[in-house]
Amino acid sequence: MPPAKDYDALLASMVRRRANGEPLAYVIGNQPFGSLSVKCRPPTLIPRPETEHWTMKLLEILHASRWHSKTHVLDICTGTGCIPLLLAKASPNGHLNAVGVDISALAINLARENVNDVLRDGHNSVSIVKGDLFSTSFADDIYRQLSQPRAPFDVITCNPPYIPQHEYDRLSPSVRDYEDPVALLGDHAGQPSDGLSFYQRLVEILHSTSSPLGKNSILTEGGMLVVEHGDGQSQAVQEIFKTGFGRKLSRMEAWKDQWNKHRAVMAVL
Amino acid sequence: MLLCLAAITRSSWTRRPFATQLKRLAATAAAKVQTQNATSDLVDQLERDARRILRVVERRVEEREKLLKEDMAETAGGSSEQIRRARALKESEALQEAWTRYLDSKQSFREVGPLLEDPDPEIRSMAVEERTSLSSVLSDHLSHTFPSLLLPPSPTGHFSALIELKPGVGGDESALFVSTVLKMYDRLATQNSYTMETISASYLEGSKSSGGGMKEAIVEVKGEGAYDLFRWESGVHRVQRVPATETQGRVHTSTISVIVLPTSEASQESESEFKVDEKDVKTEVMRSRGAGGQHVNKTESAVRLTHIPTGITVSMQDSRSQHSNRAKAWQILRARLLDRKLTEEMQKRRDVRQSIVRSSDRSEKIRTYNFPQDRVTDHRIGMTLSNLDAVFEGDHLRMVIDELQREHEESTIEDMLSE
Repeated sequence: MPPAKDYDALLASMVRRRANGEPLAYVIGNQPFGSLSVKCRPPTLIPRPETEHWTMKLLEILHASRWHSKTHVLDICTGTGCIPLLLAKASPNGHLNAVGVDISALAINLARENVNDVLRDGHNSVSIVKGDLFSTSFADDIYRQLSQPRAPFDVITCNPPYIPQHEYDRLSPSVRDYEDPVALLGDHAGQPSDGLSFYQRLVEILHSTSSPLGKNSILTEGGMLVVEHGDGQSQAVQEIFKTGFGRKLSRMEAWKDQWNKHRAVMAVL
Repeated sequence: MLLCLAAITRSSWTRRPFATQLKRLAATAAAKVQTQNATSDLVDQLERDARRILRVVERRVEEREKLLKEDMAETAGGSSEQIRRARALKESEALQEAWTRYLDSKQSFREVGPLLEDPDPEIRSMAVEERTSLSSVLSDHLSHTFPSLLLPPSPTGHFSALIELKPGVGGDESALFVSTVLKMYDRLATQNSYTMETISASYLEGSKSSGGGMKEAIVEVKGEGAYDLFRWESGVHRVQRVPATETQGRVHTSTISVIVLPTSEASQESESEFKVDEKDVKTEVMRSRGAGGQHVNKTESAVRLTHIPTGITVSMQDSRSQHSNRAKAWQILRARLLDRKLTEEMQKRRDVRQSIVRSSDRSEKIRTYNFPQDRVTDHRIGMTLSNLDAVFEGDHLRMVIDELQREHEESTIEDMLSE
């Protein structure tokens, strides 16, 4: 521990950073997420309380369910790894296994640090791999990096970038100047600027990789998909799923966050 | 008698009820035996004062004998009636044995009587010794053994304690006293093998450097018997002292308020009958976040719970973690609701008899700590102790609590005996 006078200098520098508009989680270096403390570092997206809220709801569902003896989870756009980490930590050992995938090398490094800090031998495991949702080899890339046989996941979670360009331009500097735009901008080249590109892409991937027999699917039959979305996007996301999955969609729910806003869509395929 | 009196000071934290009248009588009885004027009048006197307890004991022993007769008449085994009976017999076994011992001792006591007049001085002195020890056995049974066998275990014995301390009247001085009392409770907890955990603590601005005045403190003492230990601390504590900030040496009076709530682990709760319906509770998180989600990265962790049927609200923003604030708020809400339920139940029993120890009235001044005179007075039992330091160290505080507990148990016995 540094001596007292160094604390004063440290505190002064932290206050300065915060006064400049740097998000508190970057200044302090972590953000609480459920029962965890998640390490944070710019530019990786800081976990939001809304995300915490639906992740905990998902956790309750998993605990109450009697589906599988071991649940396999894939979290796409994992960032700090907070979602798979909380699911793994808060589930009984041996009952859950999670994979987090992100496009950013910086996020992957940070997520791996978080996994090392939080999970120990004997705990549920979390693997962090690199991947680009818009790549044609997205699914293959994931499985290649995992040292386990290719098998569909039981649950897929995703908190994709969902902010359209025009809204991004009006964001507070503490978001815009510090957090990775790649993690926030939901517009993809050639697509309408509505922040919904990632949901379209998700449907494409799940649709193309799942045959009637589900042999190559990354989501198992009867599996669950949970996605976070932005304010006002609930209807649009539900439409994308309804149109995209058609009859494969057996159940869909719109989840609200703690501020009573629609924040996530859950679909069972 | 001496064994009896020794038991008063060295107490363990289990139920040890006994009637104070018997305590006083035991002392006089000892004197009587010494003067060799003891006759069987002593036993009659003891029994007269303990007649209500004796009546209950005799009744229970009769019931047991009836059960025994029924049991012997039955030949076939295994019916649920028999199992129930067997359990009742097992439970009343200790009382039966105590009763037998009591009757035997009484018999011996009467037999030794004539020997007090014996011509041989050695025999006389042995008789006196015998009488002394027998009368102590008798009064021990009447004042300790029977009541403890009759008294049901504490219905609140398994609860942990959630303690809330707040300054009352007196500004900074009162806030400082909150810290003092908190430290005292920490020591009391440690001395009784409990640990104290801080749930929420807020200090006055700049106070950490000036001694640590606290705006509010909520702590939990976990474990069986923790609530029973701390429950009598609920109420207003008054302190009279010269504050650290006082330049002219005047004595100020200030108050703090302490509330002790029963609490249990969520896992225990599913077994108990007490459950808070989530539908009855409205959860509010502070401040609108606009679009929220990815759009915003300012931390908003404050939570407020409102229990709609009772209107009780709990706010919590102690931690950066909304999840943690919510969990603590729930814990406090459950404790307040449980406390409310227990208070209602207790008030139903109180209308038979006015009790000295009222744990329901939160605004009552229960204790005064007077620094200039170096003494503490508990107003509920009129008990005054000197040596404040020893009280704040915890072990003398324990003496006060034990006395309060005793009063409570006595009144419980009274309630039971007047049925």
